[in-house]
Amino acid sequence: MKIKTFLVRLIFLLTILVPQTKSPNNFLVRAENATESNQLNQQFKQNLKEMVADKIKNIIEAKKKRGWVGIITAKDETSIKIETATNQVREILLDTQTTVISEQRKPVNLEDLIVGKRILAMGYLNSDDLLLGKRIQILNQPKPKNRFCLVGIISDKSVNEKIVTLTPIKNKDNPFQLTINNQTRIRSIDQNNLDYQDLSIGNKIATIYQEVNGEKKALLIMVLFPILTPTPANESRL
Amino acid sequence: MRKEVFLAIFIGTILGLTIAGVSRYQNLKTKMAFLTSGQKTESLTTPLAEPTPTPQPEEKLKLIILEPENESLVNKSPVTIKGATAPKATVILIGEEDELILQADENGNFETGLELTGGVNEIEIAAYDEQNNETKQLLTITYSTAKF
Repeated sequence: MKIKTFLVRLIFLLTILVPQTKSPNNFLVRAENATESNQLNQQFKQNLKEMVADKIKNIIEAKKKRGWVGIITAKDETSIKIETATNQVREILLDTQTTVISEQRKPVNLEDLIVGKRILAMGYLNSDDLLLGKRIQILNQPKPKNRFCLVGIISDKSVNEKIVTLTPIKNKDNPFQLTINNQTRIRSIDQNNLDYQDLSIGNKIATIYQEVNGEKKALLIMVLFPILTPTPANESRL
Repeated sequence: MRKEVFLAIFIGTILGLTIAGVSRYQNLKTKMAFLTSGQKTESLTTPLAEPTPTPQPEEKLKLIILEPENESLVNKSPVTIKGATAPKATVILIGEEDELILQADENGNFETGLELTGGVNEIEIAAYDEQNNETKQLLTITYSTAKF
């Protein structure tokens, strides 16, 4: 019993020691390799740390970067206040580094920021939710909105012209005519291309249209119901 | 000597198993008694009343823009717009120059790319559900590659 145990232990020790003693310098080589490997590991870790730190910095800065649009309501030497389209009052801090750009995209002075001007203020949000203004652009007055969207039912369809009568689902008493031209994109719910002839009375559609001189021109139409498949003539366009 | 050791181990094992078995049985018995008494008490004290339906306020169609944040500053176009609304709702996006109509998935999520123009982009986002409810939101994004 004791001999057996002794033999087992001996075999175990030999198994560990023999590969180590194959080369006399084995321990040294291993040690050197270990040092090199450690250095590489350290370098790799350092690079990784720097990369992660950079990435985090970029993410934080991107998170804090803001572009506020509004009309200047008040101004002093160090800040301006604007009112946004949603009637919120915001404060922008100014300093000597703040650049101001005119409507014509030329650099101008801080003095050119006057009450009543519409501006785009770009910069970083600070912890007090104030914007550290880095670049302020004076904007032209916004163009009046001329594109609208709605969902409705086709209640009539012209045979001679590409015009449909649309009854809005939210305003059923006010049907209107919608002109379709070659620029109009007509799609099925699966985003397949359709044509004017695919539209039928009773179709439920979503549309984005432009109003020009009282005429409503469809820019985009999606047939919501029934689910249409393109006619063979249209399939070649897909 | 060896026999004695084996005998001791055997007796110890039997004794241990017996104690464990008795303890588990006692534990189960207590639990059963507690549950039975709880059920009885509940049936005696709780009146068998019908739950009164509470009037539900008319639910407005939700539309949440998850990405990008309103008033954010981006340096790439197209921008990915992610949001959530009612399942299978129709979502309409009207950008400065680009417009899109798409359908939200079964969970109400939607995601699409939208071309931006340089400067301020005021994007109107509307959602329509199958019950013809409508909701709209304005998303302002500034597209600028200016370094500061």
